Amino acid sequence: MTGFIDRLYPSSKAALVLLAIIVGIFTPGYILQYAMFPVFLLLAIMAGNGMRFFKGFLSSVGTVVLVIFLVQVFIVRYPDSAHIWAFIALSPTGLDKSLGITSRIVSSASAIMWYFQVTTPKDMVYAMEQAHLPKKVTFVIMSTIGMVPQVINRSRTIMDAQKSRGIETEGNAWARVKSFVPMLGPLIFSLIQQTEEHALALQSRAFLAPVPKTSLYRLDKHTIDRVIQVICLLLLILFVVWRVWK
Amino acid sequence: MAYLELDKVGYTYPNGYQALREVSLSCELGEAVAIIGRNGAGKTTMVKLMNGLLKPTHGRVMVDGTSTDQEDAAHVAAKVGYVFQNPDDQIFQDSIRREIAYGLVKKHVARDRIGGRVAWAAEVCGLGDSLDSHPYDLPFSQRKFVTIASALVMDPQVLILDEPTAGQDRAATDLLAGIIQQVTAMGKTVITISHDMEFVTRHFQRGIVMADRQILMDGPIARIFRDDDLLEQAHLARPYLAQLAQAWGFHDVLTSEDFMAALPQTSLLTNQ
Repeated sequence: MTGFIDRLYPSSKAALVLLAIIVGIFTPGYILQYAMFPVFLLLAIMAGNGMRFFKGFLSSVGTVVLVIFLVQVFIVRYPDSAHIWAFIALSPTGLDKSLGITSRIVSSASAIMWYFQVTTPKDMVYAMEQAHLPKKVTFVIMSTIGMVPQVINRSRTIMDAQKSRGIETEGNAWARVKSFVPMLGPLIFSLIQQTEEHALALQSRAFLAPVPKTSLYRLDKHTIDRVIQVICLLLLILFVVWRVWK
Repeated sequence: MAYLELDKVGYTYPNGYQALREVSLSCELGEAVAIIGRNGAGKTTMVKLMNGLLKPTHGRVMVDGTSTDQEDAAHVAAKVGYVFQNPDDQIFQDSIRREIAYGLVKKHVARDRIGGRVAWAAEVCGLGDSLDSHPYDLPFSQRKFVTIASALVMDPQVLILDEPTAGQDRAATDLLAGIIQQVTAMGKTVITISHDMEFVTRHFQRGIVMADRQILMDGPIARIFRDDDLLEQAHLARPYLAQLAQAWGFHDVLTSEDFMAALPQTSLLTNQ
């Protein structure tokens, strides 16, 4: 089962994700949206990525969702707010609103996180090239994605370099914030510098040559891919019709 | 007890990779020590353990009588300064003066004392004339000296230099040798990782040979380069002059002085 999702063509997975995001945002209520999280968790488990997906989701989106929820329900004032203690009040309108906002974040974020966890950059590049996207666009998208782990690694090294000349980077929140500033300079500078070198290296290998590229890597589109894409498209049309003429 | 001691120290990264098996060594103040060995031998991991950036997963590292386990890296770093391979990991101020002064400012050293110390560190590192330039106006090789000055200005008892000779020209290597000499003369220890065997033989007496994540030998440089088995095991080559001398049948030649001393006795000269 693990191989099934891996073998799907990137655009099939993208179609699924796009459908989930659009449906999530424009369907009233919040139950369907929240339900998308277990669905994508299941899909991640099928791809052998369950734990990573769950942990990643909780540590990033989970925190944001919780904060928004608490602020909306207890702190933002609405006409029906019932005072509880000091600046804290409870409001049914706030509860309703927060469910609406957080459920949409949950559905969209689950879909996007799932996509990037089950699709390798290599597959994405291949699919974009096959779709005849301009090479520069492909490069910009890929280098942006590739930058994230790179930035994390670089920032660790830079943190260490600052630590080793006696600058505190551990301890309370304020110490961390203060140590963050000296990190930004070398980080941004080195990233710009790397991008420039990267561009030169690519250019010296005929990156922008106006000829079709040969790819040693192959990824085939199967019948299942066409079926998924057509079903997603049909569902999307049905959804739009339903939302416009209901 | 020596100022810096590693007692059966091992380190395994969180991902399970064992970068250092079990090393023990001790350094007294005032020593100049060269660490040599091929890439991946564990050199950088070992020095990162010395200044507290990494904490040993077994054994212990003692600096000035205190285990690095009990202090955070910033505190250990005040005693053991470490200059990274890549200066661009560290430099972020808009003038060399500010870059060198940064650590002192952070430690709330009195302003009137900062100026003098910065000027001294810059002078030692050959940056006296460019204190007001932007660090990135200097070429990469000279930016390395900015980071050495930034570490030196903090007045650590031990200074670790990670491959300072990489990409440096002759003038810069000479400057580096001068820094090492001056710092050891002040009673501080300098520990240098280097792949430049000429540099190592010329400026160090004690060498630590590493291979396969452990120390193979810790002893006088002259003895290290005499040991064929050791050099082979550590994948190290003698300095060119020593290789040439050996081809001629002299086994104790390391520097040009040794070579000149050996030369008059050769049949090569008498035949001329």
